[in-house]
Amino acid sequence: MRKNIVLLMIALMLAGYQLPVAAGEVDILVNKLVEKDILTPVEAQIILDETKTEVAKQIAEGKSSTLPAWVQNVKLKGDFRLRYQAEDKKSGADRHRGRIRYRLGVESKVNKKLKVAAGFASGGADPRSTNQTLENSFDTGDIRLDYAYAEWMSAPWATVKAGKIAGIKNLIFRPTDLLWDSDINPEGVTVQLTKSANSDLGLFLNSSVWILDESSSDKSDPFMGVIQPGVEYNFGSLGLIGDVKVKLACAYYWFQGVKGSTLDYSAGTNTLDGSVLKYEYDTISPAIEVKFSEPFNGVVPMFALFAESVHNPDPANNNNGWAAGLKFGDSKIGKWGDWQAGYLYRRLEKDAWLDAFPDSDAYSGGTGVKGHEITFEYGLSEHTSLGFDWYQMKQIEGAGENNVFQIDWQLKF
Amino acid sequence: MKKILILLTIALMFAYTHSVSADDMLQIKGSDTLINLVQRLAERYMEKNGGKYIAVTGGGSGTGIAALINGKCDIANASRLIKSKEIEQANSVNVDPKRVVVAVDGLSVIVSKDNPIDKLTMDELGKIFRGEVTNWQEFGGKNMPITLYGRQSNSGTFDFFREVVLKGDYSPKMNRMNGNAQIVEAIKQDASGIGYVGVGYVKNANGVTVMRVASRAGADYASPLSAQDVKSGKYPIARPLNQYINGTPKGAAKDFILFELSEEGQRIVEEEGFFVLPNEYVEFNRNSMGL
Repeated sequence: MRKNIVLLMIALMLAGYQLPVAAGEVDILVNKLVEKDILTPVEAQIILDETKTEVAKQIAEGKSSTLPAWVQNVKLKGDFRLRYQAEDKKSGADRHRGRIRYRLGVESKVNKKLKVAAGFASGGADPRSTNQTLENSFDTGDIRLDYAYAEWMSAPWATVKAGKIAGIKNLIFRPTDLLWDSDINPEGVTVQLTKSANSDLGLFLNSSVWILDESSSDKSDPFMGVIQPGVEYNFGSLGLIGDVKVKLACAYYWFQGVKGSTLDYSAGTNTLDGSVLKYEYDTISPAIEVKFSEPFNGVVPMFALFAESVHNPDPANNNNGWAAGLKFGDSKIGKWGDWQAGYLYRRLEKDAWLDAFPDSDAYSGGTGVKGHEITFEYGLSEHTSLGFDWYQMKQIEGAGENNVFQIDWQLKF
Repeated sequence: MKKILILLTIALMFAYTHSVSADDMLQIKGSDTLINLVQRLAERYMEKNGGKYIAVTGGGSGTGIAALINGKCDIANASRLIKSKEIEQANSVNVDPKRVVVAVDGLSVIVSKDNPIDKLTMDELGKIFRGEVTNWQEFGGKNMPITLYGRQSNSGTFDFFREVVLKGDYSPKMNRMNGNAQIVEAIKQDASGIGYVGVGYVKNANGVTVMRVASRAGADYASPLSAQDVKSGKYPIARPLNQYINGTPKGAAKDFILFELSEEGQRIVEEEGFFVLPNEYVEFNRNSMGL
């Protein structure tokens, strides 16, 4: 009875006053009632918690809108990037150009465990670039199918993706662009398993079969497989160096039908036997990232060291590659003042890896190159940033050198 | 070719055969304070119910509530109440978060065993964690700087302590730790440290002193280790430990929550160092969720 009276009084207060004011008044009233033994402390806590939740609900209802179910099951996302790019080549003319990139993604929830995603992007058919160069007397650009795939979460720890799958970075743990340009969206099937052994230790397994080409004249279609077991461990706070998280994985790549054939969009830097690839490219690639949160009493919010390597046992020479780097600043660039800087050194020998896949901005994505990359990104406002990227790449054998400088204005939505 | 196809087939079959039906599978995510307790409850529940699968992960109360809203988990563990922004996000995707209280925590303030200070008032705690008082000498302790250990911003405990004790912002010098266990370890090794953790993490911890706290100057000091002090409200930073579910619980979620609230479940709550639900919360759960 007494509780009902109290609740009635509270309801009257909430009806009669601005909500935050009423919540404060309830606090005082409830504390008085506890002091006078009318309410127990636990009853008081329940009333205060319920009042706070009710106030939060009413504030939320003022802001939220009720949308049809089909709208709620569809999410749109995308980004636009305006780029200035300068290229300084030892052989050939220097180049300056403006480029744009526009990407739009649609994700549709089919049911609790299934979703379908598709993305559209500017640029040509090159899988390593969605840039549209500003040229040819204002000609119109292309919009192409960047990705389209289905995702099935068969269990909280098992995900299957099939189709033209978005984002190589979501399918393989790869801390650098040594082997894979981040624009590549592979085609085939990926199965990803994760397991949390406890709150600090996580295990994962990425496995995929991706189709590289299809021949209409015979059955020897080139394709590849990858299996990558890995582990993540959170060491927690280690004193001065802050919270430490380590992610470690080793990928084994398997190619079928690649030796003796050619791949589309090859940079033309692998060794050929006549006009076809001379070697197999079944490779092993370990990768590691060590991330420190708020190290050295929070001098920077984040500091990370990472490295990746690759070894191809088939050729006797020029069959290794590695990259190592660091980054520091904010983990994500989401608002004004967020920033992140980074440095990467890479060396990718001629036949360590297929030349159709590495970062296309590093000596046009070829192999047999080495060099430095320095990046800096600064948040201009919410979801808007300005980025600077400088590559100084050289041929390992040969005098070729290619320096690229990019300024990017990026807007995400 | 064959090897890869075999590998892929095995992986697909593994994923398929190990996919538990939605009715038998529960994903629980959120509060670090609750993770050990709920993990224990889940293990015991699975022992008793063959074929049921419960995965419990942490990440903080904010992470758990976000996962519930995004459909990534079935139950969110939360050591704080849901916020208006989260309710707004939930409304926009037709999620209706309902709250159930599963245990009571006496949020404990701890210092090193080497620190002679063993009691503080709420006002003094606020000054310490806001960074307004920076030396133990101010409270009659040793002449040494105070080192602060707290949680990261995705933690419900971080929010609760700020709202109830600080009534302001944390000192920027506070070390933001991943979890309760990390705070306990840090305090053990730092004679000048002070931190806050769920009582379940200190009941059997060596090397730390659990502070007695008074609601105001002149009031009696109370201990979070005393069930009587917590239940009577004498200990001023006691709090309910919550779980949020989308709508009224049913199926596997309801079955598991009923186990948590059962006599056996509450016995595990006590074994893990937290306090069993008083009658008021039992009645609250019954009224709000029909449990």
